[in-house]
Amino acid sequence: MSNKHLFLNSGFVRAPLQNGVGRYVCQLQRIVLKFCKTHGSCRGLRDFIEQDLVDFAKQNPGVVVYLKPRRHRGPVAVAEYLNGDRVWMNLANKTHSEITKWIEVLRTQQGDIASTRLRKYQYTDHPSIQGPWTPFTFKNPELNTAVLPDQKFGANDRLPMSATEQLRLMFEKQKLEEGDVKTAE
Amino acid sequence: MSVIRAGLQKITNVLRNGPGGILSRFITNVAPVERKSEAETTKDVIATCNKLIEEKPSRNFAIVHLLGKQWRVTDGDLLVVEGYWPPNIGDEIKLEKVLVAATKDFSLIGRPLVQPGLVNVTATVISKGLSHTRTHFKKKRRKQFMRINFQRAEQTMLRINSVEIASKINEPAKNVF
Amino acid sequence: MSAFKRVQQWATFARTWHVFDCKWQDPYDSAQVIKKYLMGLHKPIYHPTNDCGDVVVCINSRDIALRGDEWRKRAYFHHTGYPGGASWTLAWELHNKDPTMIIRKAIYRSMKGNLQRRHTMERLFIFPGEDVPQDIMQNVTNQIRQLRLVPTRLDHIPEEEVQKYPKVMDYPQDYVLK
Repeated sequence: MSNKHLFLNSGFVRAPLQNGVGRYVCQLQRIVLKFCKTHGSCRGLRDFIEQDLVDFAKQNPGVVVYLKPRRHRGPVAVAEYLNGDRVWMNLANKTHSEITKWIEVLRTQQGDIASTRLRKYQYTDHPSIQGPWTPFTFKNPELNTAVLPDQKFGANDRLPMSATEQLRLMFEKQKLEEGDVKTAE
Repeated sequence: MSVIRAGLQKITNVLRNGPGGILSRFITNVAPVERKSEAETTKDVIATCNKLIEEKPSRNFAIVHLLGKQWRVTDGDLLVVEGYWPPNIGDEIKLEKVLVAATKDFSLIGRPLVQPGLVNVTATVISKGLSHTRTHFKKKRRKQFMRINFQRAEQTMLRINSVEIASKINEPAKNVF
Repeated sequence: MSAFKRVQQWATFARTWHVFDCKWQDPYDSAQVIKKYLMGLHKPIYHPTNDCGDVVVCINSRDIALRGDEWRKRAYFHHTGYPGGASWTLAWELHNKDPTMIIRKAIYRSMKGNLQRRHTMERLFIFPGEDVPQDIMQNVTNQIRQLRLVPTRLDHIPEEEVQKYPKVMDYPQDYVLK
């Protein structure tokens, strides 16, 4: 007895067979449309088959389309993918345009992606290229030889300039310009 | 810490003649500092970077802006973007908003974007589908309040095909549009 | 895991020892800074579940500076658990009893009261003066910058420098200096 089926599985982003690296391969391989010729809930699916199915099959030569008429049963689409996933979808009472959209979703997805909760939205084989961080990254190399504690590394160097310092700078500037200035002597 | 540092120093000494790899940052070059004017240094740096772009000694990566999010991408990455996005499966697209492009040895940082045409990031759309059903359940105790909503977001999966630094740095920008 | 990756792991998660000079610093403001280093919040690899906190050595805790008249007004509460066991100790009294206690309590109270707090506090060393045992000081590789400038007293500045200092104005002839 296991209750694995009770909870949503979680997983990571994956693409089957390195899809998209060299060329792109459509992942939908086979779609089976099951419907009833008389049942009212199949109305939309019957419309789709009459109007759009031939175009759909022509535009997607890689997808095998089966039609399975059956008496007094609801309309269903079953999509089978290259990675072995099989998606069953109930199409009862869906209109023609809704069915067009749902079949487009079945065509473009790469498998049963709704059955797993993604834990990460990105996958990479190379998590770091310039090298992972270490405590020595971006450290001042002078710290290697410094004898700590040292006021040079400990004093706050981001304070705004004090009035005393401003005055001293003005004084130095004045001294350069005039040469002889009064001091406290 | 000093013990670890001493250990690392020993390993570094062993590996000093090798490729360096992850320990390259611990090797301090104590070569005498050459005094050069700033313009010359800039020229040297740009020349070195251009040489590295030609030789391609390491893998590139870029930070791209895509649907309001920033992604760090390199060749062969997979991304999943959520929300409505027109590109369809099999489409090969070029990601134009490149914020940073870099290799192992240098980084080109855009202000805010790297100049168009300098970096080529191409991707293929490999899957478009809907996410799992997310349940939004709200309940307030003793207040007769309960709401439940179900939601599925559109998910588009992208394969990054290449991250290339296409032209040399400091070349005049080609009009790519 | 290859040997190379293992060394990388050690390097990334290595504990760094920092020293912080408490001289003339407000313990409650400093605690906000020291706490970040103790918990590892200053690292890009920080995550609440990974053990990446650093060690901080505080020196000169005897020379901390409290704001305004907080030495007289701030009270530390303790209760023995027995009826009538409550006691209030003023900051100056506590500081006289144990000069490391005010900064220790400031850092302890700046962190969230979860199970990790007492383990994080184990990585904090406080010394009232500048004498730190050699086995602790030899590990220190970094210094945390102070928040405030340590003021210099006029009578500690050498006489020549005072004499050289620029003069803004002259006192009037009839001005009487006290």
